[in-house]
Amino acid sequence: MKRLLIILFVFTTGVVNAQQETDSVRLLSEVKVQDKRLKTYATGNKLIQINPEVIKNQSYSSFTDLLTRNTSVNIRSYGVSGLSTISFRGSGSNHSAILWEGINLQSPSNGSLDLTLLPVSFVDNVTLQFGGGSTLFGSGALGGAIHIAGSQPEFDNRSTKISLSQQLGSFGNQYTGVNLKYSGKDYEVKLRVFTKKADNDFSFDNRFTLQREKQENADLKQSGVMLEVAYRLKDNHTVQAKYWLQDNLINISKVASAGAPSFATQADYFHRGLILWEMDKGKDAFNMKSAFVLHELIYDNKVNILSNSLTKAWTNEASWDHQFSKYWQLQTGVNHTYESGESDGYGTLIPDRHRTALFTALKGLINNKLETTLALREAYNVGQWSPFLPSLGLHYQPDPKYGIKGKIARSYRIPTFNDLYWATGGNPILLPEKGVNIELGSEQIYELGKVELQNELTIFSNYIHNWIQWIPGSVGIWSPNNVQEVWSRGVEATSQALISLNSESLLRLNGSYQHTNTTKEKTKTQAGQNELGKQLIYVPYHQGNLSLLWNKKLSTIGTKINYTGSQFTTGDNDSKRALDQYTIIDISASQNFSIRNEHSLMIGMEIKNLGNKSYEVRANYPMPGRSFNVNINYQFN
Amino acid sequence: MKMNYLSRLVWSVLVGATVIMTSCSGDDESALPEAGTDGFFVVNEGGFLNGNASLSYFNKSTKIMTNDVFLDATSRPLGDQAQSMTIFEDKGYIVVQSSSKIEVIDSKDFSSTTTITEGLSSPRYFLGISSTKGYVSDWGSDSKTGTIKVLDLMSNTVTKSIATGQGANKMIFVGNKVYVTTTGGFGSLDNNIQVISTDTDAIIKTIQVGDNPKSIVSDEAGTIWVAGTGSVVYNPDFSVDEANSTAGFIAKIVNDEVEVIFSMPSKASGPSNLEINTTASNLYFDYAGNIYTLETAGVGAGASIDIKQFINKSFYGLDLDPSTNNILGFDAGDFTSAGTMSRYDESGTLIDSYEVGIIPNGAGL
Repeated sequence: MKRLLIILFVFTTGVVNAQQETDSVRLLSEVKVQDKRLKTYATGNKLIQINPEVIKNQSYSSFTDLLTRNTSVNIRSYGVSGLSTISFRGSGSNHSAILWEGINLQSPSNGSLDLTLLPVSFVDNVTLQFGGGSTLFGSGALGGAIHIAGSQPEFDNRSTKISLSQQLGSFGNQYTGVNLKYSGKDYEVKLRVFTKKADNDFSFDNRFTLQREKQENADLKQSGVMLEVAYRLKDNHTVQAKYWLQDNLINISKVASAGAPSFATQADYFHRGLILWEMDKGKDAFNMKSAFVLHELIYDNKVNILSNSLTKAWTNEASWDHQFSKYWQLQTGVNHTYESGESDGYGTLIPDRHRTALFTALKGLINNKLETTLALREAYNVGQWSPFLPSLGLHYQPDPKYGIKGKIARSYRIPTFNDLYWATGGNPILLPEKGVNIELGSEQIYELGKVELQNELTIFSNYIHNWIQWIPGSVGIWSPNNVQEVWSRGVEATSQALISLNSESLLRLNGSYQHTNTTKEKTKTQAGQNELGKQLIYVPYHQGNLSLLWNKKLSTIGTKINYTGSQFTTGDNDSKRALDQYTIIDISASQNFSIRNEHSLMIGMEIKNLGNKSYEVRANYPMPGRSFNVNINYQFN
Repeated sequence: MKMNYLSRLVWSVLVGATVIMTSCSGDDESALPEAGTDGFFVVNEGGFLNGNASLSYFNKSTKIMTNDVFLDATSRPLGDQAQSMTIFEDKGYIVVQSSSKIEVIDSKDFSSTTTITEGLSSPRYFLGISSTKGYVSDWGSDSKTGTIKVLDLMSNTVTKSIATGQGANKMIFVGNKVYVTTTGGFGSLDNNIQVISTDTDAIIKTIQVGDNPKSIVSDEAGTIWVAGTGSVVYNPDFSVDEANSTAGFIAKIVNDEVEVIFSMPSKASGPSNLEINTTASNLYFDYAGNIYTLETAGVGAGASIDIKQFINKSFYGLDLDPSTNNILGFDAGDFTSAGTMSRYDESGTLIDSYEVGIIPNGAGL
C-alpha cells in the first residue's frame, strides 16, 4: 500500500579556491559554480546556474516554483502542494540526482525527492547539470542533476548579516524566513529558519463535473532550521558542519475526478547532517565528508490507511586533487554509501545495502584552448559490480567569445528498495538502469554597444537501457522489470541579453527553449508493442521560458512567461487524452530602500498566473488561477 | 496479507499514478452511433486517480467500435474508475466507483439523464429490480462497510441502505430474491452470499461459501453458481504461503443451499469473472492465467470437477454476449494505453478484436 502513497507523492562542496588556470576555460559561460567537482570536471556538460540574486529575491519560494519560473526544464507536479519532481531531457522522475553539498538526497525507497518541500532560502547556489552525470556523482544522475549548496564561508571579521523576509498572499499563503550570519576572523555561523503555511483553497473549473469547485484539503505547513558552522584551522584548511531539520505536513487533496472528499495527510521529517573537511595545499587538495540523511514519512488517509516509512543514508567520501602542472589536474576519490529502509511495504524485511565507488577524473588544458576531462567510476554494490562508467568531455574555445563543447558519458541508476523489496511484487533480481548520454553544444557572446548577448545551443541524445517499469504479471501481481529502452533526443537553446539603457537602468532578458523527443524504442512486454516509437507520457515536445527584468536605480519590474506544450498521458499517444498546452505569465514589481548602506528594505508584489489560466501539470490535478503576493525583505549588513 | 481485488486496486493506482489520463480537447472522430442499433457498451475503467474512464459502443451489425461515446455525448469525461454498466429499461446505469457516482444515460442516444451522487461512496454494480427500484452494491468509504443501496428510479435517490458483509459486489436477481456476493473488505475476508428479499429490501438468509466470493451467475432453473478467489497469503520471498492461504472455489447453490463447493488445485490464484451461457450448459471463468470452461451437466455433490482450458489467455474483464453466446475478453495490456476487446465463439476460437479505451473491464449488455 505504501507504494501507492509514495507514488502519490511520491517525490562537494567545494572550495572556491579553484585553480585560476583552468577557470579561464570557463570564462565564457561565467558559471560561478561552487561545487568543485562540478566546476572543474564537468567539462562539456550543459550547466545552468540560477542567478544568486534571483535565489535571494525568491527566498520565499519552493524549488518547484523557482525552477518553473526561471528555467524551461520539465517540472512534474501533482497539484500545487503535491509531489513535484524534475525530468531532465525526457527522463523519469527518479532519474535526477539532487545533491546538497554533493550529498544525494534522492530517497533510497523511491528514488525521488519532492521539490515542493525544498525551501529556496536554505541554499545560496543552484546549478542544473543536464545529461548523465554518474561518473562524477554516482547512481541516479541519468537525466541530470540539481546541485544545491550554501555559500562558502567568507570569514569576514566581526561581520553580522541579518535577513528577514515575509510573504503574504492569496489562498492563505504565508512565509516567514530569517537568515542570520555572524563571522569572525576564523569562524562563521549561519542560521536559517523558515516557516510556511498555505491553505491552497483556490477555486477551479472541474472538467468532470463542469462546475466551479473549491480545492479542499490541500493545506501545507512547513518549518525548518539549518545551522552551518565553519571553522578555519589555517589558510585553505577548513572544517564545516551543517545540520538541516525540516518538518512538513501536507494535506492531500482529492483528484478532480474523485467523488469522495479526502482527509489524507502526509508528514515528512528530514534530518540532514554533514561534516566537511577541506585542505588545499596548492598542488594537492584534500576533501573529506560524512553525511547522514534521514527521512521519515507518515501517510494517513484518516480512514483505513496509516503507514510509515523511514529511510537512512550515511555517505562518506574522500577525494584528492593533484595538480601536475599548470595544465593537468587529477581527482581521485572513494565514496561509501550505506542505505536502509523500513516500510510497511517491505513486510518484516528491513533492506539495507553498502555501496562503494571509486572514481577518478583527469583534466587537461591543451594549447590553452581545448579543455579535456576523462572521468571513470566503478561501484561495488551488494555482491555485484555496477556498470563501469566512463565519460569524456571536451571544450574547445578558440576565442574568448566563442566555444564548442561536447560530452559522451555513461550513467546508471540502481533499483530502489521499492523496486526490489515491495511486498508483493518487488523484484530482487532487477538490474541497474544504464544510459549513454551524448551532447554537443556551442556558446557565444556578442557585445554590441550597450547590449551583451550570450547564447548557448545544445543538441543531445540520451539512450537508456533496462528502464524499469512495473508491469502486470499473469496472475494479476504487478512487478518491476527491466523492460524498456528509451531514447531521448532534442535541442536546448538559451539566450541571455543584458541591455544597459543608461547609467541608471538595465534590462535583462532571458529566454530558453527545449525540444524533447523521447520515445520507447524497445519493450519486452507484448502489450507495449503498440507504444514503440511513441513519445513518453508527460514529456512535452516543446517548452519555453522568457523573462524580462527592468531595473532602474532601486526599482525593479519584471515578467516571467512559461510555455509548456501539450503532453501525452497515455503510452499510445491518444490525442484526446493529451494535456492541453499552457502559457503562464507572472509579473512582479519591487522597490528597495536603503539606509546608510547598512539597512535595506525591499517591498515587492507579484501576480502569478496573470491570465488566470486553468491548467493541469499532471492530469486530474488542477492548478490555481491568478494569485497575489506581497513580499517584504529586510537586510542588515 | 493482501486480497486479490485490493492488490489490483493498489496496482492500478500505482500504474495509474505513473501514467495516463483524459483531457477534453474534443476533436473530430466520432459521429454518434445510430440510436437503438443492435450492439452493446464497453466499460473502460481507466487508471485509478487518472480520471480517464470512458465508454465505448460496439455496433454488432456494422462491427464498428466507437470509443468515448460518453465524452462525445456529454462533453465531460466519465470519471474515475468506471466499474460496471447495466442496461435497464432503456437506461444505461454506469457505476463510476472512485467518482462515487452513477451516470445514467439514455441507452439509445447516449444522452445524459442524470448523475446520482447522493448516498453513494464506493459503488460497484447496479441491478434493476422494477421500474421504480434498483439495487447498487457499495464497498463503503472505508472499503469495509459493504451495503446494498436501494435506489428509487423515479427520483434517482437512495432510499435505504442494507448492511451486507464486507465488499458487496456482484448481484443476481432470481424470483423475488437478490443474491449478493461479499468479496471481502480492506484487509479482511468475507465468505458469504447475502440473500435479500426484494419485497422487504431486507436480508433473509446468509449462505456461507468459500473465501472472497466475487462473481455470481444463475440459470433459468434458478441454480446459482458462485466463483470465489480464495485468499492468497505470501511468504516474505513472495512465494505462496500454502498453510495460510485458502484455495479459490466454484460453488453450486440450489434452493438457497450449497450443494457442492469445488476447491481449485492451485492457491496462487482463484477463479474470477464467472459467466454462464444462455443454455446454461457451460460456465466460463478466468483462472491461473487462462480462461477455463466447466460443463454444468453432472456437476454435483460427490462428482469430481473437470475444468477445461478454453482460451489460452487471461483477461482483465470477461463477459458473455447472450445474443450469440460469444465470449468477450477485455485485455488491459500494460494498463498504459488503449485496451482491446476480443470476441470468441463457443469453441474458444477468436472471431475478432477491437481497440477500446483504457483498462476495459466489461460490457454493458
